[in-house]
Amino acid sequence: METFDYAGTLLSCADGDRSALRRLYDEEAGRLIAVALRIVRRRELAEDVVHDAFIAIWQRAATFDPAIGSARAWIYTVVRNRALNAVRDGKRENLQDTPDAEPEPAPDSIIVDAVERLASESRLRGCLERLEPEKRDCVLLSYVTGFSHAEISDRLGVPLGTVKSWVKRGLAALQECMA
Amino acid sequence: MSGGSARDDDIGVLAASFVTGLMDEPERRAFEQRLAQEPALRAAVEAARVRFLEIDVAARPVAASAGLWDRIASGLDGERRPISLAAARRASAAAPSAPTRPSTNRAFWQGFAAASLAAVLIGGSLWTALWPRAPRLVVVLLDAQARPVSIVETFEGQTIRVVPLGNIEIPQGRTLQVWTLPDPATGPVSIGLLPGASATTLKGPSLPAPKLDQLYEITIEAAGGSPTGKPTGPIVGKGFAKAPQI
Repeated sequence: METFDYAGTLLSCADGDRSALRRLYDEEAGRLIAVALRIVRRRELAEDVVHDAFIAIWQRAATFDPAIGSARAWIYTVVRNRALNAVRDGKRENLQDTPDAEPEPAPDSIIVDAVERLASESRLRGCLERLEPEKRDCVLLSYVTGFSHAEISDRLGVPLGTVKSWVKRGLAALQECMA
Repeated sequence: MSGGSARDDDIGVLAASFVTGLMDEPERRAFEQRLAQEPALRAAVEAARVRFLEIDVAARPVAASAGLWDRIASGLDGERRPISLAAARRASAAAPSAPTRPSTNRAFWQGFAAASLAAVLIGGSLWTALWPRAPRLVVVLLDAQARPVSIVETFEGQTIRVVPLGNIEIPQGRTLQVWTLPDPATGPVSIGLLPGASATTLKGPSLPAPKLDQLYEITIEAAGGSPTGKPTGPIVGKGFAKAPQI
């Protein structure tokens, strides 16, 4: 059950209340690092992403408009965008070449885990599990691990055009199921 | 309901592609322009964000390193801490480009700062030498390779001064147009055209005073300016407004 007041916390941040940012950190940092880690795949970099995201949240809290959207989604979007930027343009491969990189789970197991972590009664989970496997993989590799079309194409060993079509149909089927 | 119109479905799929991060740069740019003008699209994006958020919040938390909070806290004061750590690590690589996406552009800026070039520009008195009045805010516009191409200084009274850093190639029959994004909801606003690649003072339309981190960019447009009133051409450079410590 969620009782944390995300919107109120952002408003307090906008007012310059540091203890509000600290509360948000205590509440969400662990999950936000996990989300960044699924995308950037290196612990150190995931923490850097979350570090930068918290600074950005602090600086931009005033731009959040509770009338327009979910505060929690806004916060996660800040982290996701930073993580995606960190791996764009093939930097993911470069990053993995560093000798101190920890062994990391394969993308396939990351996306399987992501679905299994959803509550068993989750509607989203039910809809994801109802998708054809290749379309489900496309949707999850894009959202969870931040893969581009080209990366998914490499991963699944199918042409780019096929991936684009699977992604589109997967997203459409998911939307239909959730509607 | 499952009988939504084809257009509703399209919007939903488009919004989901945006939220998952699957759009390439031109698609994202076009989409963000539409986003600024279409409330239905904004609602679809918000719905997709909330839908997919469930996956993120179900992630197994990873314990933060000791000291992460202290690093964040020490970064809050703007105590002349010009670089972001993630940006610093990739500073030597080409920065990605996403003109209307503040997070990207901030990383962009910070990556540049990490390369110490910004420190040189800001630490020096470049603009005070060029221009006797102190600007309220200064923007270093970077190209897609994170090279500085121009400085924009903002002054009172909707006036900006654009100082190109080196020659900017303008194709025949085209012009440079300067834009800013005072509010993502209303989209980019033209400040004016640059007659050439030399320092130019422009008086823009009546807008709220420029804010910290407000986006500025220069694009190449048809002679006379963008026919649509919004940026359509290639981006010459872009950056976020920063407060100079003079």
